[in-house]
Amino acid sequence: MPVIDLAPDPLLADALQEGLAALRGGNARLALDGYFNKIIAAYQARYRDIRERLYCARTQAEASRYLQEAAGRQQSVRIVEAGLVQAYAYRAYELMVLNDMSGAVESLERARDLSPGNADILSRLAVLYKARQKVPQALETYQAAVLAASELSPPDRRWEELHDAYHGLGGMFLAMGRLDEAAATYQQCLAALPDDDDANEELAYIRQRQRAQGH
Amino acid sequence: MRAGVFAVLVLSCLFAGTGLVKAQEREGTAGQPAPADKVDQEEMRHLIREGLQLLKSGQPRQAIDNDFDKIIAAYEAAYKHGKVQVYSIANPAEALAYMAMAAKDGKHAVALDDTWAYALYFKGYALVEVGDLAGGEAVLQQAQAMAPFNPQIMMERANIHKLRKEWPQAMELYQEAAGFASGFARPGLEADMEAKANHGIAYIDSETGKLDEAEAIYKKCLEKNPQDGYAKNELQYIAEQRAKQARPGR
Repeated sequence: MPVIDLAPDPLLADALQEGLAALRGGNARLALDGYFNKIIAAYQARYRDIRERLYCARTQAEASRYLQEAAGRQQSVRIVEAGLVQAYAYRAYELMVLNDMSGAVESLERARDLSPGNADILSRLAVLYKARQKVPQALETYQAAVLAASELSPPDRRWEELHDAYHGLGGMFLAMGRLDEAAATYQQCLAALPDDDDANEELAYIRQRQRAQGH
Repeated sequence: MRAGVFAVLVLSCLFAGTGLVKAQEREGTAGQPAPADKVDQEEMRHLIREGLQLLKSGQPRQAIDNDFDKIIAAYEAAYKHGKVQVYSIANPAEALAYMAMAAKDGKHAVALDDTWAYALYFKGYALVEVGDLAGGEAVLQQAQAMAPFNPQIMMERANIHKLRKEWPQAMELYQEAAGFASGFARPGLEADMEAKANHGIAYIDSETGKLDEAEAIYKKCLEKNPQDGYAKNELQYIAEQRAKQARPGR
């Protein structure tokens, strides 16, 4: 079997889309039990016999990174498509809608374990850590998201994922009253995303707060 | 596959153009000074941005509790004792229209920027996300009262009727939104809003068996925007439905 095989399973990809349709405004329990839990079970069955360390990747670049890092650890790996990680992310969303934060965190932590370089997963997980007041984990995860978005996000997702990661990190510093670090984060954001109007507005907001504090 | 694309498009519409209109408060009738600094505008806009990030990250409850409710409470506290009709506008044309309406009714009115209406709108959206359609509907009606011609709010109200399969009510709101899109959408989003309103109309047509009508609308959408992925997807769905209907002994 090839070490890297990112070809999506067409049946499971279709099932994910159906689950996504059931997701918004519908019955969260139905979306979970009728779709995402079954899809996750199907993927797990598919990968049951894999003995190597399993990763899921959205792109060849991400896959190559996992391969490279595993080679450094002299670890055998198998790298597959990202459908399972996507299913975990949707599952986490539905669990959050049902107010099962612990379940949502667990789902995203599994997703992170499979795709440690997936900036979207990292930002979603960081939000949950922040919501649960787990500040060091939230900071670390947002910082990982910034790096992952910079280096590994698919080209059509890069802007959005960098935006989310930087704003998440900047928001953390703001919430902690660490205004200088917040400002530095948004300035780095603007260096990477010069057309990010929201970052400019956040910097204006920070300057206002700094003035109020007598900076 | 069909409605999955629609769900994604709803989200992308929601977050498009989050640079909110920075209109100054405007007085509605002569002699009434515009109230100044009733709320901390920068703080409110920060909360909207933060709330949107939480929505995007799959945290609708947090977005409501941490951000949208705070904005709504601040504005309500600032304006509750006023005898003015408050509008919250995303487009300068709204200010003209609403002030004219107020003047015709002999009312004092003020037009704020769109922060308050959008805090209500996003709260309504978030409530729908967590399955509280009735709660979402009530909040969106409050938002619409502040922005009667805002097509984005109309479409989210239409979406609730769509989720309940209340086709006539949904259709009416989508048609209204289509009518207001070019004149009253947030600047820069006119074409986007018009497309989404037409998607809604065509969706209901296809759900109520009017495949020809739906197909015609989607084809017009593609003429205007050949990249319209939703319209392409729906045309494929219509073709599949026709193929099923044509199959003998189905």
